Amino acid sequence: VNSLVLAIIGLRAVALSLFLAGDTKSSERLYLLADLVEAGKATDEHMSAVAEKLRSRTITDADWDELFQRIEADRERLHSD
Amino acid sequence: MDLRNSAVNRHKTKLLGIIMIVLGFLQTDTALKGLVPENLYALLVSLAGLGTLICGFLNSFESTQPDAPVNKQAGSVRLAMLFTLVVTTFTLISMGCTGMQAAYKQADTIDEQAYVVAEHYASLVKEAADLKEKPSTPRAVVTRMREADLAAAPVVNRVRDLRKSYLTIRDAKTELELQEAVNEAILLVADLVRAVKQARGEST
Repeated sequence: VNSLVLAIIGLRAVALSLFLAGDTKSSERLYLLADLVEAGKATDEHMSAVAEKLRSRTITDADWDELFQRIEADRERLHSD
Repeated sequence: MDLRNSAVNRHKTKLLGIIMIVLGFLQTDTALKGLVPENLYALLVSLAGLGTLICGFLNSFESTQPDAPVNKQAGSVRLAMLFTLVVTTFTLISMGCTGMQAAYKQADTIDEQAYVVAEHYASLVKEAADLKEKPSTPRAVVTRMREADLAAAPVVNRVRDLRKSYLTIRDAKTELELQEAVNEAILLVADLVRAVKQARGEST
């Protein structure tokens, strides 16, 4: 069992309890914190996959092309209104 | 035995907070961490979370009873609970960067270093975009992440161009240029990391 997953579940459970108790501001902050922890976990998993790729083979131009396609798509999402 | 008026009942939320603090502390110390098996730790955290959820319901119910005494401690208990959760979460976050370290350690050549820093940037941009799409993320946080991205993007693009030059020519000059660009990109990617961390700090 991943302790980060438990932390995320715990944070969301407490956020829900605070919301039900009427403390919506604290609840929203905890939900945000849970989102940030979840995002950090995804980043670390992504970098683990990168390490594995480097271990197993040489990086090619196709890898770079695919990487920059991802970057462009995510930058578009980040900067769109 | 009057369970309703017992000390355990009156201080149940505080006790759960203490349990969370102890569990968080156990994870920060390498020697103590080994004392609690991972599955038991998982179970204890789940039970503490469930208990806090139930206490949240009970506190809410008690405070809405017309003849019930005003619970002056409710606010401070919630603050303590928040503090505990924040400390626990940051402890877990600080432990959870093994993938990042593995990727940078695995990069032996300048070409691979360039790839790792570009992948690191890509993962952060995805993280920032995902956070931006969550309704709970404040506007100021999104703005800070966008600014950090605008600073980093041109340098990461330059890393890609210089990598191509380096692989074509493979001389000392192109290698040095690529190394300098990678170093600059690492600093700007670190700014992007800080933007997310700062966002985290502002929100707590």
